[in-house]
Amino acid sequence: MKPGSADLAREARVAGLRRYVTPSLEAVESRRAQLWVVAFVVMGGLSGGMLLLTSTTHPGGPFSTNALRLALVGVSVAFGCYVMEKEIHLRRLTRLLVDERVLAAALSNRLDEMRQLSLKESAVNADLHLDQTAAVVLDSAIELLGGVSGAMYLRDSDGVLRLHTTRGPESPAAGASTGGLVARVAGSGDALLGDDDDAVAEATAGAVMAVPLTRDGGVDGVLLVRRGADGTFSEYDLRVLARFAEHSASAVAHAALYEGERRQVEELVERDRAKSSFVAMVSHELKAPLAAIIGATKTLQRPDLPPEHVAGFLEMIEKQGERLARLVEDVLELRRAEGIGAPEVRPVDLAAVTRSVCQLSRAGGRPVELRAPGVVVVNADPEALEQILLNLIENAFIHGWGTVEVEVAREADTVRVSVLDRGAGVAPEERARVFDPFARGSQVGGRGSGLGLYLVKTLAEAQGGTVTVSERPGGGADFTVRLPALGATAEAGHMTGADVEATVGVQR
Amino acid sequence: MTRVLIVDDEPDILLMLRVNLEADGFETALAADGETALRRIEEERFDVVLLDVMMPVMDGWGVLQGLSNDPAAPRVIVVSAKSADRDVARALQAGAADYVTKPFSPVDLSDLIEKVVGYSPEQLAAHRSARMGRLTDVSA
Repeated sequence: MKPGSADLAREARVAGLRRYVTPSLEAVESRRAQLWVVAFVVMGGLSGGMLLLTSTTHPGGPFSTNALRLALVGVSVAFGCYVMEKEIHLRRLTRLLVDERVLAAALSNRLDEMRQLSLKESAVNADLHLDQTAAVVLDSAIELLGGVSGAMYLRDSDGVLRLHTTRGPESPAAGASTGGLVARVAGSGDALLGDDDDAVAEATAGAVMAVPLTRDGGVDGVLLVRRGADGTFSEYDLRVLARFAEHSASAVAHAALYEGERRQVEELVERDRAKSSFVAMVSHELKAPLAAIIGATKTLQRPDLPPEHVAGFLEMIEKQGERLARLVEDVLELRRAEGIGAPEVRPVDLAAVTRSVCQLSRAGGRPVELRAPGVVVVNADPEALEQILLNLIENAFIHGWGTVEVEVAREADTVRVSVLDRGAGVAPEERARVFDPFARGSQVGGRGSGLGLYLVKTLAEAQGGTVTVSERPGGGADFTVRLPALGATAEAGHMTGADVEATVGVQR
Repeated sequence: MTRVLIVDDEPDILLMLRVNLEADGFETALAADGETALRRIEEERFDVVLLDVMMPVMDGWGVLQGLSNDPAAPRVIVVSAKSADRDVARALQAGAADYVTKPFSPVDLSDLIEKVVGYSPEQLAAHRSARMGRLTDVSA
């Protein structure tokens, strides 16, 4: 049985240590010393009285000597009982306090171990993994409290409390719902024992408690420990867990901080690597048309070249030269796309941009069927939108056949523009790579620059959007760009350009 | 007559090489990917293979791998836009006789083919190690 703080308080009260919530061992010892001093003095007095009664006689007094003697013996026995009872309580209190000291020592040993571990790890790997730290803290807490399962919730970068680590049969949503135990602990910053409502709400049997992981006064996370169906937790257990959490919070916070920085560095390294590999890829892609152009030129310079080949090689030079120009143009466009930031993004009517691009495409001999509502306002760069649509439509004509369909529609809080073709579609295993630079799939001798879809992706993401490819029902590819919506969809004519400007005014 | 298999996924390069090599008196065959190349090498006799590295289906490394255990395999000249020393080293170690980076002069390529075909095995080994010796940065 684990001693609880309620026991401690009761023993202390009975032993006369009322001022202490948690009496120290020293206070208990001095109380015992006081008790025995008083006991000796009182017993001495009583013994003296007895001796006096035996040696002298009091004839004629109101009480007989025998009656007085009996009374004295009675008082002595009662006082002895009182002293013994206090002594028992004081001894029990001492035992409880020693128990707690041992526990505290064990706790501090465990924390030292953890600190050593993290020091060792940071020395060896220069690396402090949040997952590992969280796992060690959670495992230690469960072991310390004799729990069967547990969970650690941590605040993510958005400030939302999320389940980070679980042990044992812990449901992912345990107590995190509004009003749930974890939410209450996070809200109040207090260590709490779960009540019957929590067990009912989570449909679990057994005791549960949760303590906050606080740092700088804020709740960084919540540590939850659960016992089996017939287990209970006392106030004392809660205090142990709270103290443990107090010490662990900084370790977890450091690991979280480190993790964030590590991720940032990794992201930068990855971006740098992507850039270098992009440069390598572009130079390789530049060499392909150059090899054809230089080769064709050298071939044309041969005096022994059969004359019927001349026209073909001239055409080759022209075609590959154009390919080179297109590639350079796309690379420049990409550079521009990478520079698109918030200031260049403004409310634009996507439906209007799409209409004009479709007209342009039709004028160029590429029939496009458009389905779009009157006005759909998005926060975007109009030129970038045009580029996205032109590239997707060109892609659809390269890989598909027949009429290409373009669809603009508003979804919950995004605006979707889909370019649909009736081509072979994109094989599921190629979908992830299709937006990579120069990913031409299994296609032989690509017709595009190899950057068109990559440019679409870069442009869409620069404006806070996404692009995906999926199988179009009935065959073909469905390239869909989603952008954050702004303002409501209006039927044709209901919203004019002036309204769009007005929306801008409200938004800013 | 010297038979050359040209392997490249770029139709213009295939055409350009074929016209040049045939004007220089070679007999040529074409393949647009590694798998087709390996099949043709198995079925027909070639003296030299001009091999691109970056190709769909099976790349040039796959072809070199496929030929590595065949003592009667034709001699391979890798023709690639990859110009890093480590790529050249990798190709030579994988058994290529030489390595030409794109863009290249088709006339020089014909001379190289003549040379490679004319070498005895010992001369070829010496040629490869001399080529290897000219590389400076071969770290992967």
